[in-house]
Amino acid sequence: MKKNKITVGSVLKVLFLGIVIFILYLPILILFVLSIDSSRTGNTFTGVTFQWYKEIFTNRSLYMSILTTFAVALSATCISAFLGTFAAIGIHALSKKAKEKVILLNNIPVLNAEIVTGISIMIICSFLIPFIPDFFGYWTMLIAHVFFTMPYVILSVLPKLSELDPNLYDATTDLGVRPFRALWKIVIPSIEPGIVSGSLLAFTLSIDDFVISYFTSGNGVQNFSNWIYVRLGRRNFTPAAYAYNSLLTLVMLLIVLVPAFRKNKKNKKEKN
Amino acid sequence: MKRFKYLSIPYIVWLVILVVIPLIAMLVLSFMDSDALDFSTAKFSLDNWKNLFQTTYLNAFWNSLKIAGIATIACILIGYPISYFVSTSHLKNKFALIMVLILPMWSNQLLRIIAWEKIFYPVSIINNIGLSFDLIGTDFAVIFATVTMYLPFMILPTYTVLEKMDKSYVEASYDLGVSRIRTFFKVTLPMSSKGIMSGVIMVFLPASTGFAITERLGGGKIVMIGNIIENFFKRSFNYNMGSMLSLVVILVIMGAIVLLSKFDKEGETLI
Repeated sequence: MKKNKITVGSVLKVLFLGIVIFILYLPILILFVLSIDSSRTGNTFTGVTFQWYKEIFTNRSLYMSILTTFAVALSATCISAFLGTFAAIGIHALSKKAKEKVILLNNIPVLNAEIVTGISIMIICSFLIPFIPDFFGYWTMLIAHVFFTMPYVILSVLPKLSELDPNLYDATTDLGVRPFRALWKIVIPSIEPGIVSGSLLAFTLSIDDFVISYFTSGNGVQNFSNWIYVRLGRRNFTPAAYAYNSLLTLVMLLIVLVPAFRKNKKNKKEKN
Repeated sequence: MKRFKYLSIPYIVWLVILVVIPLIAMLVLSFMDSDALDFSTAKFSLDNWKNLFQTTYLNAFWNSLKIAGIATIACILIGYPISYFVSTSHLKNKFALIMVLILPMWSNQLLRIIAWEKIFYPVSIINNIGLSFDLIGTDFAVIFATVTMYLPFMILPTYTVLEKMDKSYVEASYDLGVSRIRTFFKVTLPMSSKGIMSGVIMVFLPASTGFAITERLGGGKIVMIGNIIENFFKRSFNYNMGSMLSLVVILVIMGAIVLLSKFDKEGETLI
C-alpha cells in the first residue's frame, strides 16, 4: 500500500469532513453550554452552574417523564424483540408470494409518516375509552411503540433466517428433538445477531420518539420529548432538560465509541 | 421449518387491525362533519374534500415537498461524498469515524432543534462570542436544520453499500485505463444506487411529514402539511379535516411503497 501523500484533494476532504462533524456536533455543544449556564432563559451566558444537573432529581414532572421514556422503551423493545422474532420465523416459513405481501404490509409502519401512525393509534385507542376510561398514557404509548418498532426487528431478523441452513433444523428434528425445542436451541442462537441489532434499533427509535408519543400519550403521562414540547417557551420549562440530555448523550458517546476504538486497538495488536 | 407458518398469523392480524381500522375510521371521518370522534351527532359532508384545494393546504403540501426535496438533495450531496471518502480512505478505524457521524442522533431531536432555534434568533447565547444571526422564519433555517437532523440517515445506508461493494470492479476499471472520474460515474455510483435510494426514503419521508422543525424555526411563516394536521387533531379538534389531509399523505406514501416494492422485493433496502 502506498503511503498517504498530502495533496490538495486530501486536505479538502479532511476539511469537508471536519466542517460536517462540527455542524453536526454544534447543537450538542450549545445544549451543553445551556446546561451549565446559570441564566434560566438561555439567551445569554451569565455564569457556570451545576444547579440544573441537581434539578433533574428534584423536578418531579421531569424525572417522571424520563422514567416513562425508559419504561416504554425497555418494555416495547423486549416485546418487539420477542414477538418480532417469532413473527419473522413465521413469515420466513410462508410461500414466496405470501412472504412478499406480508413484507409489504410490514413496511407500512416503517414507511408511513410518523404523524399518520400516531393519529392511527390514537383513533383506534380512542374507540376503547368507553370501556377503559383512563386508557391513554403508558399503555397506549406501549401499543404504539411496539407497533412501530416490531417491523424493524422483523426486517433485521429475516435476512439472518435466509442465511440459515434449513438442513440444520431438519437434522435436529430428525434426531427426535421437538419442533419448539429445536427452534429454541438451534434457530434462535443462529439468528441472534439479527435479533440484537433489531432490538438496538427498536430501543434507539423508541427512546427518541416524539411525534408518535405526542399523539398517543395522555392523562398526564408523557415521555421526555413530550415533556419538552408542551413546555417550550413557557415558565415551567427548566434547563434541567438540557442537563439530562447532555448526560445521556455523553453516556451514549462513551458506550459506542469506547468499544469501537478498543476494537481497533485489538486489530492493530493482532496485525503486529 | 415450514410448519411455523402459523406464527405469522397473529402478527398479520395485529398489523391489519392497527393499519386498516384507523384507515377506515379516517375515511369515514373525512366524509363527515362530526364533533371529534363523537359519531352520534355526525352528519354526512363533502366539505372536507372540497376544502382540499384551498390555497392554505396546497401551499402547505408544496412547502413540504420543496423543503424536504431540497433537504434530501443536500443530504445526498453532503452525505454521499462523506461515505465515499471514508470507505475509500486508508484509515484503520473507518467504523469509528462513521459512528462519530451518526452519534448526534442520540441527542434528543427536539432539543437539537431548540439549539438551532437559539442560534438563529438575533438575541442568543452566541452573542457572547460576538455572533448574531436573524434567520427564524426563513426557508434556509428550516432546510439547514432538516439537513443536520437527517444527514446520518443518508450516511449510514450509503456507507454500508459502499463498504459491501466488491472493489475488484473498480480496480478492473482502472486496469483497463478508465479514468477515476469515469469509473466513479460508470461503476461505483450505479453499484451504490440502492444505498442512495434507501437514504432518500429515510430522509425525505420524515422530513416532508414532520412538524417540529417548522413549528420552532418557521416563525409562523413556514407551514408544512404536518403542522396543519397536528393543528387539526391537537388544537382545533377538527378530526374531519385532519383525517382528510392524513389520507392524502397516506395515498402519496402508498404510491411510494408500491414503487419501492417494484425495486426491492425482500424489503432489505430499509435496513
